[in-house]
Amino acid sequence: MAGLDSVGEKTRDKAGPRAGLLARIRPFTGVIALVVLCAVFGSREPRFLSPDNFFNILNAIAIVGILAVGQAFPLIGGGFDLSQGAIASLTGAVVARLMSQHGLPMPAAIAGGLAAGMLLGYINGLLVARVGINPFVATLGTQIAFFGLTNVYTNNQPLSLGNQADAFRQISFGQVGMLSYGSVLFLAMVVLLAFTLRLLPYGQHLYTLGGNEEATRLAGLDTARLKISTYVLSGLLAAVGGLVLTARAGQASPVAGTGYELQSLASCIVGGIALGGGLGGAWNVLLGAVTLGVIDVGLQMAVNAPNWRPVIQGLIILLAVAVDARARMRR
Amino acid sequence: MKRIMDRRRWLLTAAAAGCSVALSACGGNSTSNSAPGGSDEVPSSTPATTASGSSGSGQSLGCTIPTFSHPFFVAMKKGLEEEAKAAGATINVVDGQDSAQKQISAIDNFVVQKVDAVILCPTETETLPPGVQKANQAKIPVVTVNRTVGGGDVVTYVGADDTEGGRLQGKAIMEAFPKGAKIALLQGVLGSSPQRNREAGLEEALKGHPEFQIVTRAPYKFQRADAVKVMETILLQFAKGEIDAVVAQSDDGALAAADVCGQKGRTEIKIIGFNGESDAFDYIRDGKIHATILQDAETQGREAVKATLKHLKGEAVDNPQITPLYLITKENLDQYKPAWQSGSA
Repeated sequence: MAGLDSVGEKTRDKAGPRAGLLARIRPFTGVIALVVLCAVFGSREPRFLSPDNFFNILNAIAIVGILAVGQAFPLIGGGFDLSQGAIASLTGAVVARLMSQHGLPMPAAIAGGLAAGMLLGYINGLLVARVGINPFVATLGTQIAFFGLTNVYTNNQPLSLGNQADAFRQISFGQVGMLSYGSVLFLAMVVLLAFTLRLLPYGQHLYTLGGNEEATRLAGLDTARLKISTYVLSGLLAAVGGLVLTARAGQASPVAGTGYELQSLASCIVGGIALGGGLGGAWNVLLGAVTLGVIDVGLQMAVNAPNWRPVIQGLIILLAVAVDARARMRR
Repeated sequence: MKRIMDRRRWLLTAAAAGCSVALSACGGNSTSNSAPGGSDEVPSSTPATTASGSSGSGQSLGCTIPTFSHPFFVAMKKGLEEEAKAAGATINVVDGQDSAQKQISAIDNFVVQKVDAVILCPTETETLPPGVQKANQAKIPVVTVNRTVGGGDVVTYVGADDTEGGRLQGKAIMEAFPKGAKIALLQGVLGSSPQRNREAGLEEALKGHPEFQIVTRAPYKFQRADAVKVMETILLQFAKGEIDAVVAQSDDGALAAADVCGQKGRTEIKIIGFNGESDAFDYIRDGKIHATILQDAETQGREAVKATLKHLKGEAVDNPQITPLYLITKENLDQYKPAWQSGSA
């Protein structure tokens, strides 16, 4: 994998003079694929290309997108987080219960949910960085345990949002112009991610950690603390996504977050963040989430055979990643 | 003498250890099973169930249902447990966690425990027959509830007919739109038996009436947030007048569709749900949802236990035992009770 020299994404896409066509267009393959997809869907359903649908897609991907921003931290740092969906479920339940059962005002309940998300992320971080469990196993284990905890905490029942339900649901349904609050949150998180990765020393440390852990340690950085921080951020963002999820559903269902961790991982990887760490940026998260959203909404509009949609969806994802992989090999 | 005692105790301990290893081995999944649903009582209550069964204080029933994480099945579980308790029987209800494999291993455990009967609500119709056959070989009678199973010998099926429910949805549409309607169908978990059967029933009801058309189908996994997402796209794709009705395969879908239609000012669309949870009753009262199909999971659980105990007494049991479904609209709403309370506080 990339060494210290390819810290940051700036050096990543430099195609050498002898590079093939694929490698030359590689920085743009994602965008080209997106344009082609939109053209295909638009030719089958003209309304797909309406401005309204642009905002619809942004709203559709808000939850997965927010989780994907969180996922980017452990991914770039060389790990990943399979417990995000469970954290979204559990923190959604925490917020709902703080409002409906304990009568807390909405901002306090939201703060409680976000704190819970960070705590759960911290547990992941400890298991990976201090106990030394492989991130896949560690976060798979906590995924199971956190979903279990959600069921214990909710007694398997969806929780109502109490008398603040209408205000809380604005988190998903409220609008600024054409943008839903959920999409605004998502875009804000992408901007924050870009800022963190490009302008803060922390961002550089993350790329270094993902690129070469041993060198990072030798450079005098506390790798364990760095790793833990990535899982705390992933947990926090999963909780933010959980807020939007709960607001959208109008209740906190214990199973609402099922499968979201894989969608967030897929967004990152389709967007070009490598498994293994050290590469990728906020742009990749945005590109990946939008691409998956375009496929999702486009297939719903253009293909009236629900059973075939996942087949086509899988093939498009594989094609996108395959082109990317070929371009890397030719470099 | 003391030495012999010691030795006996040692043997006992070893035997007990061996048993527990064997139990956890064949219930490989049931340990991980125990995470959600607070069903960690499953392994520990195992000896207790067997003990009370052998002491003859009542019949012991083993039961597995698809999930503990949906209020429909929580209501069913309540019916199962309360009816068993009332009849002086013990029942061990195991969370299938939406996995056929976990349900099969739960049945394996019941066979090892020698329960008197198994009550099964399968996650999947076609993958559970091996479990039923294992119980058959051990001569343990099996009763299915709410969902049928595709093979093996079953004493009886207790539950509603999802196909009939789909037909009722179709009937509601035809009554609301005498001149025909363009319908969007919100599908549950693709391939699950409620999805297939409710859809088959709906299509059957609309067959031979070309003025009724299902113009789009979108799955929402029985999840409200997913239903919101697909409904927003549907409204974008189909402008006013291009769609008249939404049929959802559960109230989760209907409630989400009603929220989206309300937000986007598309209240001309008539929405029909399924299950009859309390939120749906409220939305029907407010005119946000047109109708739903009421199915009473708790009663299904009760009837399943009754039928099982009746069979164990050696009495004849009807097969199948179809519990009724009701079409709920604003007109008859007050004559019925919701299937369950939607959100607990």
